[in-house]
Amino acid sequence: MPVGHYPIRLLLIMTSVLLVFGCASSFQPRPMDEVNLLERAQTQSKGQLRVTAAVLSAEETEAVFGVSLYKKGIQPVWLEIENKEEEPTWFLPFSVDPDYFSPLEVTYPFHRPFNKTYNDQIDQYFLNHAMGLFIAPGTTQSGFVFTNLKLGTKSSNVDLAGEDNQPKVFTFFISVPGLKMDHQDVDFDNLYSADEIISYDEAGFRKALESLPCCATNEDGTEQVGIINLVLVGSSEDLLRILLRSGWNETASGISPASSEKDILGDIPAGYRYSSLNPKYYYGRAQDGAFRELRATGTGRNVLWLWLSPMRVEGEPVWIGSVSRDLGPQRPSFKNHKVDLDEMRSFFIQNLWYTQGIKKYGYVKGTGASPISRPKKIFGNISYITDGYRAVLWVSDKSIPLNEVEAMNWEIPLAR
Amino acid sequence: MFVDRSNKWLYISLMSCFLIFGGCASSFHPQPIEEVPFKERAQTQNENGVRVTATVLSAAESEVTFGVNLYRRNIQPVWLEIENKDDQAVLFLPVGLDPHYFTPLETSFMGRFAIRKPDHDEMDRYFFKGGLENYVAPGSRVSGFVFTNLDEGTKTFNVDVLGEDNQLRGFTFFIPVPGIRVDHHNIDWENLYSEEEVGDYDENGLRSALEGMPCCTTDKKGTEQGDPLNLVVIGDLEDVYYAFIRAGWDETETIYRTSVLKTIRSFLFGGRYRYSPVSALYVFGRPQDVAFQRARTSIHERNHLRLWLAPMRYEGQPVWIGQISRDIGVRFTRKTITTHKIDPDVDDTRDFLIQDLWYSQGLKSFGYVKGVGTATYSEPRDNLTGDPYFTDGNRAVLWVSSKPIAFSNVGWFDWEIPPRDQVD
Repeated sequence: MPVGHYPIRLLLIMTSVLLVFGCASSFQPRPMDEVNLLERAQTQSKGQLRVTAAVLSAEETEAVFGVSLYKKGIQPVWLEIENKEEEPTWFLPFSVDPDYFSPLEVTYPFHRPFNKTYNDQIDQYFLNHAMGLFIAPGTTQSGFVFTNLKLGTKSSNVDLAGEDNQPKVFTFFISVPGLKMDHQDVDFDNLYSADEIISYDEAGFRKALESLPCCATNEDGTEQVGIINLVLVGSSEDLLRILLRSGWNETASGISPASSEKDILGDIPAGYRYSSLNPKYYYGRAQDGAFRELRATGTGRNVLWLWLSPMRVEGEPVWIGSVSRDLGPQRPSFKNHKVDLDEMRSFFIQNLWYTQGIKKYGYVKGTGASPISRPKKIFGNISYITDGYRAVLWVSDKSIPLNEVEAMNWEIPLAR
Repeated sequence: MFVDRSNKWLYISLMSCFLIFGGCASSFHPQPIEEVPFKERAQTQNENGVRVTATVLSAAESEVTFGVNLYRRNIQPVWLEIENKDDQAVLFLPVGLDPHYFTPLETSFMGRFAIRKPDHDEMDRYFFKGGLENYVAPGSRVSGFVFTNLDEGTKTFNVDVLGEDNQLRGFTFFIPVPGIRVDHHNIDWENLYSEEEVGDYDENGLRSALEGMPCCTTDKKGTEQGDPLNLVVIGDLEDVYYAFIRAGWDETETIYRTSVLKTIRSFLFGGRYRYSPVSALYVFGRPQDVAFQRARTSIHERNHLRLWLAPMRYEGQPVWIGQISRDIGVRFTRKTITTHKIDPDVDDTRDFLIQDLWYSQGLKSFGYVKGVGTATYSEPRDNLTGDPYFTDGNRAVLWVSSKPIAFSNVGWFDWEIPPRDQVD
């Protein structure tokens, strides 16, 4: 580089240094009551204990705390706990998020060099607004817990323990503004008219499942794009709750994307976990819900498409699904990998089982077998291997211990 | 991408790189598992007619067994043999072993880069066949591999086996993995204290003895005070190990050449080095006997704790005194150039640990005891690297357990109730 450029560069650096320090705005959080937190808050009571919870959106967070916590992947949850018992109770933030952040851990990255006044100001502000752990008898405490960011629906427990160490568990499902999802647009109650709905008993249900078409297709039905290997029985609320609790997250709608979504997802760490899945078609329409589950290693993601079927079994709605694992973008020459759908199906059952969310499960025939010697190649050149069974799971609104789940006496998947 | 003249050379060099690598991709040559002696280290457990034998393959063993370097992909094969002597079929649930286990074909896919393409199909079948069956018929036996996420030091895992009669059998394994150097392995526990030096205490005696322990760690000479001793742990080494490792804490490596290089690499490239060494702090004139850490999103954010065996016993159990703090970032110092900034709110980190052990069922009883001395937000104390901290002055007392204890069966030492969250 010519020497003559140096003074210009120096000047640029100097100005930017001046800009950063000179223009750095002061810390101006807005008083809490100006931000309408309580509008979306939910309240639950158990005995003499009351818990009110609200999750702050990106804008609300910036208003209350004066800094953009969402960009660092931090989401404040506001809690108010009232203890009308005669004994003290303790709030356990670990129950809200086992990786919760402490107030000063949150502020440290926002500290400014050589600006002790500002740093002190934010430290004290965050400490003063943090939720206390000890709630004396007859008092009410409120404050924030700093959790890891979730868009869509945030599912959290709030556990309180008294002096006897008996836990009282409050479970919240709170929607966070900012993500537009497929299942929000579907009017599940009116998707099928009364005469379209077919009711089955158990035996009839098994037969009906065996004769369902094998695969989801592209929009015009010319290509198979996904194997239907999953049937779920239960209400949409129970199903959503159990999926969220098992670690699945909702995804942005790929059918009718919102315009502002790209910005939000690009602005938060690991925003890709909410990006839309490719639409798949069954029953002549795109999926009613699409979910993704990140894995600990960052390689590969579990993906799930769901459709509400016109079937009812013993009065309960039946959902048809396709669950698979996406190993990420690959060079075309390497695209001959095989996805073991049976392993995925088995993982999915255990995933819900360990979250104590299923009461019954079984296997039915249906998709046709494709052993490792003859993998099924479908759209995108991915090979699938499967024994041809579908897993059928009855989700539960109550927690079911691992050893109380009932196995249906239908098919037993063959040994490898 | 635009292809112009300046890119031509890039293409040529890229092509030659491919050729070189393509040429080097080796053929797939796993060694038959009978020839790799990993089963010699296997541990066996029996419960109600089901026998489980387990072993964890080292880096070298997995490379010869699978013909590719799986440790580099953070994958660690666990070999299991399950024998069902019951008259009901049983089901093995791999999610109980590792909620993020890899399927055999996924493992093969991730390891295939080093193997030439014509062998990929053979490799897929080899991994597929090596995977463990989930279903074990009555009177039969299955064996094979579960591909888990890598743990070094000691690997702890459950093997959950569920019968068709809904009987759940849980096996817990703690298996040392050859490969890293851990702090406590060099300590001569037997001769740390003579029998006369160790005092036996009842509950009240323990409380006043703990209140009288020093407030803080010191430097090597014992002249300057460092981080507060805000932790008391009761239990023998095995209990301590089971409880902390099950809650997700990792052992720390001693400081030696390799571990220093690993730390620098993780510092520069942001990767996680879960076993990075911790510096020495001093109590009883010696550095910590045991250290654990719990990684968060990057090396700059982790919790770590150090423990020293104290010359005390309570109900026959050894008593440890310790220190816990959380790194929340990096800052510059005159003495050591860079150091980790600790969260000044050390009580928050201490209270996190109580919950962490409570929720992972590793806690038998807990409480708080005085002894650190209060330090307020406006008048904080400093540790050895000049980091300020404030505290209510209590130490957490944690009686740990190697057997899981249900949440509501945890006991409570009715000593101090810590005053909460006063900023003044």
